[in-house]
Amino acid sequence: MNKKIIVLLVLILSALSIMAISVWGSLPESNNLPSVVSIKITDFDLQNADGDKIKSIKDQVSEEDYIYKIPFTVTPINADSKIKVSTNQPGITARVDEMESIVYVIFDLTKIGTTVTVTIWDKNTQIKDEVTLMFLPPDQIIIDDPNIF
Amino acid sequence: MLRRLFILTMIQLSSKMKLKITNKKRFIANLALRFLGLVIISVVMVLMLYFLNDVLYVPVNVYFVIFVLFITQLASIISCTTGLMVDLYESKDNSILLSFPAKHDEVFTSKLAVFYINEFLKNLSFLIPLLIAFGSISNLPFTYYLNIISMVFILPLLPVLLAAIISIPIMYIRQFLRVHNTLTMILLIIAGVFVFLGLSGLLDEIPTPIRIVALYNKFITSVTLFMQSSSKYASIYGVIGRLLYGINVLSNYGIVMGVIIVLLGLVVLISRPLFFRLASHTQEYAVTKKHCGRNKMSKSLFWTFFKKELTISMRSSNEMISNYVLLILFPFIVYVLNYIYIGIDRSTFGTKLVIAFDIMISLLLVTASNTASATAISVEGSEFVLLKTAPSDTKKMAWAKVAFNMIASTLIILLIFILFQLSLPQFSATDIWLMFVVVIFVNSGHILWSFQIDLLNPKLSDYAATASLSNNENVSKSIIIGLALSIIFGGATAFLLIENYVTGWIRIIALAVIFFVARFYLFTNFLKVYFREIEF
Repeated sequence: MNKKIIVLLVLILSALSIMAISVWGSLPESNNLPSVVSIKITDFDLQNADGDKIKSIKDQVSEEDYIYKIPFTVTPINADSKIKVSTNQPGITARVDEMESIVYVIFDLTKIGTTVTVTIWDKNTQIKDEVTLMFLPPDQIIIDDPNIF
Repeated sequence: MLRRLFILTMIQLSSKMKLKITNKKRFIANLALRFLGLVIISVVMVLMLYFLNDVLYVPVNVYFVIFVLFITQLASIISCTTGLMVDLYESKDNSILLSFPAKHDEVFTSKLAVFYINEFLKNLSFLIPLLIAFGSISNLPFTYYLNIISMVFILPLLPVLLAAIISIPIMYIRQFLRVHNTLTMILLIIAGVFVFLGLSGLLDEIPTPIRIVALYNKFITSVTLFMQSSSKYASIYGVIGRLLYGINVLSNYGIVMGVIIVLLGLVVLISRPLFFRLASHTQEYAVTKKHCGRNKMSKSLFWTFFKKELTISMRSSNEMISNYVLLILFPFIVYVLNYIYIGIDRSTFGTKLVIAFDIMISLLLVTASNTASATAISVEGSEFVLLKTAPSDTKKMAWAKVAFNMIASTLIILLIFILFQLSLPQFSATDIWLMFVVVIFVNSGHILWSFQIDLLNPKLSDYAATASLSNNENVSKSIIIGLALSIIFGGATAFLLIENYVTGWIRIIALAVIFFVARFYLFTNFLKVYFREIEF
């Protein structure tokens, strides 16, 4: 037994204590929170006739800067939400920060240049919004081409 | 030259590992077992990576590999630097090796070779199975595994070469700080303030009331982003990661080789010439202080020994810091934990649990800092015999040591609790000071108990021979007792406070006082009987 083991024990005990207090020692959360009414991705360049959103990320994602941020809004602000996010391409992963209302899209080095559709949805109500990220300048994107999506 | 280098390396290696093959069958069985161990580690790594990728949704991709490479190699650089600082410049075998019929450069190179072999073996049992696991779950091509073979030899070389260069300025800084104790303390306080401000800034980011599930998701997202974005700053390890994944293989190999050549050049030009100078100019010859000795009659024997403890701790502040290192961590841990506890919407039951956990964690950290008491007699080493021949009641030395440890420990704990109250004004001040009373009594009792352990079984001859306290069984016993006390008092606090808050506090403080009085009584009696029995 030495001091390093004690530090490890303290860290484990600290994590356990937080879990114990939040499970047995916290007040029940309010059940009166409203449901999600809408999820909206606000940062996009083009929108086609079907309402599909397209964003050009040609100059924003590169080998040095491979994480792209998508801000979104959830209404009402205090909604009882469980936000999830997915992409339609393997090698391109997305993570959501519900507190900051931002989705981070991480491009694998071999996937930079690949078009990807990112879907954000609420697990409780299944309300969703999506955006397609493309590596083309906005003026070269044909918005009603069905092959894009 | 190569033969001399080989002999020097083998001499040093033989003191660190078993090299002689006495039984061929046993050797082969050992090798087979080690290979099986590697296969098992690789399988465990694959499962771990599946868990990360498919359960926690942390992407296991090239950036993740770079992050893992960076972190593991950073740990290797730190361990090699601290190891080389001792092995190159302060090792006791220097006087033997440098007297051999070999050049100083050969001794220097052999020391680096020993470190390279150690790193090589470490990588073989951890990093390589991990890289194989990455390849397996990412379905990487055969060339990936071929690149791993070259990395088996390249990766251990980088931390050793870097450490050989970094260890020189760090060695100079360490030697400077060793003789400037006040400056060390000031730097430590400044570092502490910066860490505290950094922690406060991080904690302010957490929205209150804290929802643990949301916080957990935020934490996993932040960790993922940190891992994924840190590969931008991984420099040479970013290049190695890309190389492994088959991206610009030739040019990346060129960069890696270039870096190794530059590092080798720096080692040859800077570290090699300084090695002999630093190795032959150790700390004991660097003392320049000139004390004017004055014989002064002391009125009290206890006060004389107490002043001696004070002087020793002032002169060797590094040792004092290493004894009380957990008390330095204490305010940071207490602050972070209680900030989170307070942020949770707690019930009355939750508030009582908070106090119980606070007492448990405080006692765990505080009692583990009483190692100085658990080695108080042992550290006297061979001087203890001289001390006992003094025509006086030398038992007072024990009381002086106990008193010094209790006062130092109590003052530090008092300072921590004042900081606790100032930094978390939302926390009930009454609860903070009642906790303080419990911690102080239990800690004082534990100091007496730790001292008693050393009194009954002092390691005077061990310390006289090695001047080291590592693997000291009295220290282990003291820490284990502290752990048991923390669990008992933490559990008792939870039980008594839940039963009745007001009488619970009275009973828990009474228990702490009874514990202290019992330890005081036992210590006094043990000291009376056993102190004169202590022999070298």
